[in-house]
Amino acid sequence: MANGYTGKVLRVDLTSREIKVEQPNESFYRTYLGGPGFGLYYLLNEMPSQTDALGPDNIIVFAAGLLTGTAAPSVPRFTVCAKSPLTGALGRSEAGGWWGPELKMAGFDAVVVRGRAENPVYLWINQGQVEIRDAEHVWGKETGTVERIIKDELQDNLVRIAQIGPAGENQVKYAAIVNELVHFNGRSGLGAVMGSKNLKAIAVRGNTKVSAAHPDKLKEMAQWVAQEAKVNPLSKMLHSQGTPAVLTANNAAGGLPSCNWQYGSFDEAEEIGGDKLTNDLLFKRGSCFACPIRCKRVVKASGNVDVDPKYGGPEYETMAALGSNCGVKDLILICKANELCNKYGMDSISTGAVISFAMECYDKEYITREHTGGLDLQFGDGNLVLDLIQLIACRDGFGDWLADGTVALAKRIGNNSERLLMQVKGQDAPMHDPRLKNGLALQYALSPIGADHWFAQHDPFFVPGNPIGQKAGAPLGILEGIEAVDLSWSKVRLIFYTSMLNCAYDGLGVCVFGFAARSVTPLKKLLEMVEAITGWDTSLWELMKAGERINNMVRMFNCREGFGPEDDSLPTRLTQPLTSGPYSGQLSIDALEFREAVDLYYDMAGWDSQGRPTRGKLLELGLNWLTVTSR
Amino acid sequence: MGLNIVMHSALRDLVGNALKPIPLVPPQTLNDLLHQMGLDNGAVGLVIFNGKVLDRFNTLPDEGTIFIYPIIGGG
Repeated sequence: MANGYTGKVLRVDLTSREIKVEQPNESFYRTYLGGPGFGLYYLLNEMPSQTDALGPDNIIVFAAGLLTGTAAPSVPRFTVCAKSPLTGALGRSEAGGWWGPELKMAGFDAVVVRGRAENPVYLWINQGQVEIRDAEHVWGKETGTVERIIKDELQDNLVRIAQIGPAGENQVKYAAIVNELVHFNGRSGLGAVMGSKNLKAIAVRGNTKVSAAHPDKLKEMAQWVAQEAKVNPLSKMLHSQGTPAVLTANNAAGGLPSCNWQYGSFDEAEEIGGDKLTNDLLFKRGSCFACPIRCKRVVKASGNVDVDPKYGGPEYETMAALGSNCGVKDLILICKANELCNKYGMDSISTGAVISFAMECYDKEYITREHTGGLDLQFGDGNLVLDLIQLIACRDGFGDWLADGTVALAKRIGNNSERLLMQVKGQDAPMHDPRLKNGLALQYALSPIGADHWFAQHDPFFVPGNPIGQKAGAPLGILEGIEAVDLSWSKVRLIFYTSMLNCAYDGLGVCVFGFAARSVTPLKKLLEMVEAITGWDTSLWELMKAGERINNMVRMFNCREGFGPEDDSLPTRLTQPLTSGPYSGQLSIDALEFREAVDLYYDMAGWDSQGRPTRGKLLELGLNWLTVTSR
Repeated sequence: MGLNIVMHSALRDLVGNALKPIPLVPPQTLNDLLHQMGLDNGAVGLVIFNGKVLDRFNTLPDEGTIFIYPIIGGG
């Protein structure tokens, strides 16, 4: 067997119930790594353009990273790819937890699913054996209940389950895939794709250790990371407060999205921030497979509102999207909203975005109680947010309007309400304001899945004088600090290089919270890990090129679906100055300057003026099989 | 009197407490202060004094309160 990967890809056709196993050769792995590289390979090769995202011909790929499942630290991730029902572009989302490692230990690097089952089913992958099982009895049930029922019927409490909730079944356009109840392929509506296929869950169990070429070296590295994580300031902060730590900082900067991004400061930020969560509600810290950082939160509350710890706890994105951005100042209600999103299987960012957008439209009287079924959509009403989440998941009443996402809702509402949207390519913006860090504006615009805050690395690490950026940037040739508010060529170059890096991370299964620049493990160690696991004599150059290859494949996917330069844009609101905080009245993004920066990214990437990879670029990346469609 | 430092959020776990007076020998820059506190390691993202952002090369005021926040690197 090869080192680091199993050498097997599982193919399942739900229509014909045919199950096959493919065995790609080593160069396939070295070329595409894993994760999105695998997903895109199958989508581009086997799925015609303009396929209905919720039809049986959409292909959904679950692919672990190259390093996932090994003893390497902080590489637990897997990718799910399909055409997105939310955006019409590539749908792609990474998740941590244990599911990806378990899939590898069960004998597969990826699962490629097509077709549509006649009745609800789930896949049971057990140590190389695969079965399509009836799921009628769990259809319609919440994720926590389903987790229990499937584990009981398989008589194994260590089965790892990736599943959809009622929102996925009802094809809510931003339905998530949930694993272990606390980890999510949240973005792009991939849960709706599973729902459209009548695929309720994929349960996996394996006991074959994923081999490494040099296990002793790997063990040494894992010990080094575990020790270093205890003293590295970034990993220490991730451990102590998790991502919620940034909420009050964003607020102080005037960049905490509040009331549908109308404001950047929230008076009650301290009441919903990381300190409050840690002091009042933290039940314990959670983790992913083989990660020493333990950045996940598990919260618990009881009283007027109970919060069930089995659904984990909110990340920063959730706290802002369902908290400040909806004007909600009650932390327990925010945690409850997080629990409901996890229970019903919904992306908490888009859920918060669609609710806050509807609230602003109501506030501006574009919609009334007549439209909302009598609901009084006031900012700040946390109980209303809870009610709306349930209505959305069931597509009940006004929830049906909200279930198709913000862009569809704006079309329904009319009144030029599109100008209030905070989305790119139909994907709702995460809770970071790009006016404070302009590289993020490029990320939002250029990310193939629409607004995404992990398409590249974040600006603050790379500002002049920050030793974190100096260390992380140097191996990439980024030698000078760059201010956060900057759209010069050097910022474009930073985003170009780190978008390649982050694509490589996804292919490898790397979590950004474990590696440079966001955390403890430097690129040199990553390279040593890849070599220790695979036995390859590789280089940062080869890994970066693999990342660039993934970025070009996804670009080709979107070009094929009709996306062009006009889709690499920003929400109008970001061209207006900040409304609060120390930069109030400043930092609007100049539309022309921004367009020039996007065009420069195209130039650097070897894309033409339409943002399409040139034939030369595709050939340089060994993607000759894509040149036929590129002409 | 003197300068008060209010450390926010997870930074507290790096330096130990939330509020402590720091004796200063002016002129001292924010950079000097962060170095003195062991926070010149990239962990700090934002420093506010009197509602304005302090640059790391700014001379620190003699008295008042400055608020220090962790780096915002993506959540």
